[in-house]
Amino acid sequence: MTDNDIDQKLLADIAKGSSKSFRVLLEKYQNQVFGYCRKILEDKAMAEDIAQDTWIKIAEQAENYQPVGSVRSWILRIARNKCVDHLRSQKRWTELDDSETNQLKDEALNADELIQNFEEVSLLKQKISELPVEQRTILMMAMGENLELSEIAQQLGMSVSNVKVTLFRIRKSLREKLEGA
Amino acid sequence: MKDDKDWFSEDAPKGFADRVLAKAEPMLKEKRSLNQRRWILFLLPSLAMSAAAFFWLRLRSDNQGAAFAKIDMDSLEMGQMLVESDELTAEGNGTDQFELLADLDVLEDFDEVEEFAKSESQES
Repeated sequence: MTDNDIDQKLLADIAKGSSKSFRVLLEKYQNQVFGYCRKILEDKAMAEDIAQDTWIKIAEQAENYQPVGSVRSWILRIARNKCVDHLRSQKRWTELDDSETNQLKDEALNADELIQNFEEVSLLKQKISELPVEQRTILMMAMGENLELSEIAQQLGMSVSNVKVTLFRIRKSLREKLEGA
Repeated sequence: MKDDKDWFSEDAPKGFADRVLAKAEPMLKEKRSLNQRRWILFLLPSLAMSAAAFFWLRLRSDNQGAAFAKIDMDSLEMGQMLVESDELTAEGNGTDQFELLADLDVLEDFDEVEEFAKSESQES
């Protein structure tokens, strides 16, 4: 039985109302969910509120889970959607512009290339917080949820080229910041 | 990068899990009772169908038993009627009809029957 099978079993029990299974899943992923929200929102109190909402939503939607991806990805997707919804309600979220994509297409990269270039995670984490929120979210989707570019594009309503370009900009920006550090 | 799946993890604030659980508990309770209701709704028709099938089979077997009992009673009554009719006949002729029939079987033609009948009447 894989880790994901155990998580699926826990979700099935939560769907039937098991508090015990909910606690097990919560204790397993609470740090990831909280950290994920914190990285996007950059506000501890807000991250706690959104992480709480995320868990309530998980309990609520347990019976609707489709075993397509892993349970972990499903949980993080809920967390990310909650964060983005919150940012939109605060008008702190601007949809990324598709207009410049053609100019940068050749220089674009994929998420793996981006991750490979950073070995010092602690320094990287510090620099990520300085990125605009939209870029942070895409970065979390690529590096945290390990989503394919096409999935990121689909979920954020962007073109794949635009996601590539954004990741290229993120790498450029982070490199500059890390070189200057 | 040590663990790219977990690099963003951060310790959740103290008591976070308890707070979430307290908030989620009413919903989980509702799910539990809904689940119980689903089971009852699922089991009730099955139980009703089983009970109906049981009573139907029982009723059917009772009816069959009654029908057989009736046939037995009819046979018994018919037997009794035959015996009574034999007795009446025997009384009317003054002879035992069964004996007469047994004797008749031995006889081969009507002449002999007639002779036999004459001899019988003379004797009586």
